[in-house]
Amino acid sequence: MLGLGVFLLMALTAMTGSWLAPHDPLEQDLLNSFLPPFWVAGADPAFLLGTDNLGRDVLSRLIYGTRVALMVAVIAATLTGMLGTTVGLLAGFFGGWVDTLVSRMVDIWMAFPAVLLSIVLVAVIGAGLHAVIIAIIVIDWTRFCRVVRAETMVQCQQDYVASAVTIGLSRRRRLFVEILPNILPLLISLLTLEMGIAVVVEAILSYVGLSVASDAATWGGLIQEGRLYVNQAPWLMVFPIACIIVAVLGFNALGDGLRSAFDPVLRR
Amino acid sequence: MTPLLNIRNLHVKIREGAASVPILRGVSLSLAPGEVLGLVGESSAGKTMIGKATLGILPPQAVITDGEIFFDGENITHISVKARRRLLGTDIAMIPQDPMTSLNPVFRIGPQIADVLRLHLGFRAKEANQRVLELLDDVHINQPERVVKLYPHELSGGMRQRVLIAIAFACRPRLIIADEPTTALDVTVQRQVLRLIKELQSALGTAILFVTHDLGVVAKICNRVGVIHAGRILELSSAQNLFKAPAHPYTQALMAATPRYDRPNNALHPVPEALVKHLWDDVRRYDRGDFAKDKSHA
Repeated sequence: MLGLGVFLLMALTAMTGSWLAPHDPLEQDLLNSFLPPFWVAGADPAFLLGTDNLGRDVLSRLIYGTRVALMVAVIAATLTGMLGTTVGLLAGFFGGWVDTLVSRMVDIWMAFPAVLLSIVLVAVIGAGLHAVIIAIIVIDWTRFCRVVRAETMVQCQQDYVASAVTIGLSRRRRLFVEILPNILPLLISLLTLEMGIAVVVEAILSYVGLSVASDAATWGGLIQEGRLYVNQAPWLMVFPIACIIVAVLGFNALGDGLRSAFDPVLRR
Repeated sequence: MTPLLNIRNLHVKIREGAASVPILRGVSLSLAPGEVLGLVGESSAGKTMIGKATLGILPPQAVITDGEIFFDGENITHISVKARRRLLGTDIAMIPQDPMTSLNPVFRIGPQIADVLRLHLGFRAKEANQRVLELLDDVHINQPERVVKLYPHELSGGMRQRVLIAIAFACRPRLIIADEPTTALDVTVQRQVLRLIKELQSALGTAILFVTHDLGVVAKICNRVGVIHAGRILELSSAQNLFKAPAHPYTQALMAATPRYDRPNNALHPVPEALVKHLWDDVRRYDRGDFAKDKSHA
């Protein structure tokens, strides 16, 4: 369970960040700017991963960035999942004009460039963490919706749903009590996938300066700041990029692991 | 005595784009309380559709174009979703064809039976659980305390069909639609399940509409039998009469086509081609008449 390990590590880092970080992420120390990471000659062991142009500790900033990344990943993915799943369930179950309406909306959404849409959205709502989360929900609900709609249609064809009709269960009950639990394994994989995507979207938005306030540390923000000094201090970009890669891979591995743990067919 | 179920001149068509294909061509039958009526016929004869129309679970492409269905004197052909839900599970229940897929795979057996009791009879959780054990005992499941905690995939086909029978009989319905309940089971289990259905049926006085393609099954369980071909009932008579003196040539041909141990050396007799052709000519003539009638209305 590599994915679970990464996830727990991230969660732990985010929760204990304030005392785990060796320095205040905003504390400047201009005498110690551009210190290299610990394995390069001339490093200061007090700054394990070096410092940036203002002498701020890179490790501490990464740790504080984890908090933002994880928060966005969990909250945005959960809310996106809830919206997309509800709409998808209704479309798949009722069919007819409900399905047509939802499917056409999904088509329109998919025709729109996601990054552009998110930047426009954040610009309208105003920068900040809540704006990032709202942007992710508004853009990515279609991912859940499409998959859940198709799976609901498949489940509706199953005999157990017909049996539920013949014992007189209401439509609401059939949809949420009979069908929903059967698509849960699918939802879990989608949710973890979405968490990875949310991390990337957050990085993109903070890279263009539309996420949390610019003085706060985020992975995307770190990449953007490091970009200016990439020739002098490449580690300023390398570390946050590595963090994003590990986080996204970790979320995907978590999804795979959970699916194989829950899916009776794969478990055999 | 008023019949429990009365179907009059039922027509069902399946729409395919602009065209529509008739699948039931004027079916009429009635079922007295406590009676077991068998419906036999080859595949696609429309026997399952009669059951589905009665339950109101026809597939979306199928529409009732003519005729009425009365349950206990009440016309239920086009009743509201709400009214039908009150009927289904309490007064009319169903034993499905495939026990493998008719239970929800993510829930344990106990709650799936208890649900029906709580929904329709207002049982509390505790009473319901107690009643579930009794119901499982009624369908001869050993160690019901153990079985209620199992998931459907942990049971054999016969066990699952017993669970579904327990669900169907849970609210003491007056009518059960059994749609080929033994087709998916192997022969020895078939016998046990049939005997079980018969036993519960005579103990509770339930009427059963028994859909099957197996004449042997019909002989064991039914009071009366209807022979169906291409959505029409060709012959409807008591089970004894039907087997002793089948009147319709198609019925005779079906009997002759059934392999039996008491005539092992005979080759199998398929239904004669001339007869099949004759039947279908009849059907086509009927459809044309139907068509002309529709035209004259328009």
